[in-house]
Amino acid sequence: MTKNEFLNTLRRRLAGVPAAEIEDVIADYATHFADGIASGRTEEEIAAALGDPMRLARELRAEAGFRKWELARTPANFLGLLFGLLALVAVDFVFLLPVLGALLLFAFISIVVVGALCVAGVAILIGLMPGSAHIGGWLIHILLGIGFLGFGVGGGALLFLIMGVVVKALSHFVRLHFTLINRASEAV
Amino acid sequence: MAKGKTNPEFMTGVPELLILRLLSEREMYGYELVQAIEAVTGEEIKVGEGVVYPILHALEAQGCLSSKRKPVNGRTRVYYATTAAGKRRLGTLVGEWQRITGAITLAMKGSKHGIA
Repeated sequence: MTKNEFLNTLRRRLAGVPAAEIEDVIADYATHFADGIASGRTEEEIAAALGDPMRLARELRAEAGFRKWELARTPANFLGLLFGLLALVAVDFVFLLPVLGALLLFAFISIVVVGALCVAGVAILIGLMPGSAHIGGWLIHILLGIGFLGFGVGGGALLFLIMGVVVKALSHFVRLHFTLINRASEAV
Repeated sequence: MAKGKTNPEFMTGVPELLILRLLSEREMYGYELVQAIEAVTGEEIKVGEGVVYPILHALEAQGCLSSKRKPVNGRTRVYYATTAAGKRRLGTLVGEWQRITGAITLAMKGSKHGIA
């Protein structure tokens, strides 16, 4: 593979990542080729030592996903991160698939439960305020509504915290297992 | 596919450790760093060349490294150096590494005595 083939594949496979980031990456590897050629290696040798550009692109994508999520913890960024990770996991870290699946299921169920608690709390609060004449029932309903809402909001906050920790752990793990590790073990 | 064998757990932090260690001595650019890793490890550890860059960017994003652009022969090279946070991280990694290798060395001695 020549320098241009390598860089073009990498660029193509990175489509969707912010343009400035792609340019940074391409600049890194273009410089790497230039330095390698200056020290007497051929383009083919350097490309071979760099590894598969498609795999590299998957890793860089996952990495970009992590960074976006760390910057802004929005549901959209979480989904983006998950898909980026899924693409990487499906090919390179097959053993992580069940973990990711379980994580997704856990997140989904928790969101449904937390959402249901909030809805129930609000429903109890507003549904029973007007009309209920006697004080005892009224008070119980308010307390019940606040209770449900509290569980919902508290659960949501807890979920947010847990997801943050899990994603951080996962990103650490995947980062450490990037190509360098596998290439290192092939070489040893 | 390219999965192959995974390194033992204790190898996972090695590239990061090596990169921080080398950059704590002096600033370097990517290609220089790749050569330096091979040189200092007696070519025993080959870090995939393409992977140094993602690690450099990750460490920079975490604030462990700072980067500087310098024009060299009409091209721009990015030089990396460790920050104070990077030196702290290096200290932690070195401590972990010594703890693990110390324990393994101890275990090896133990088994030798056992056999003898």
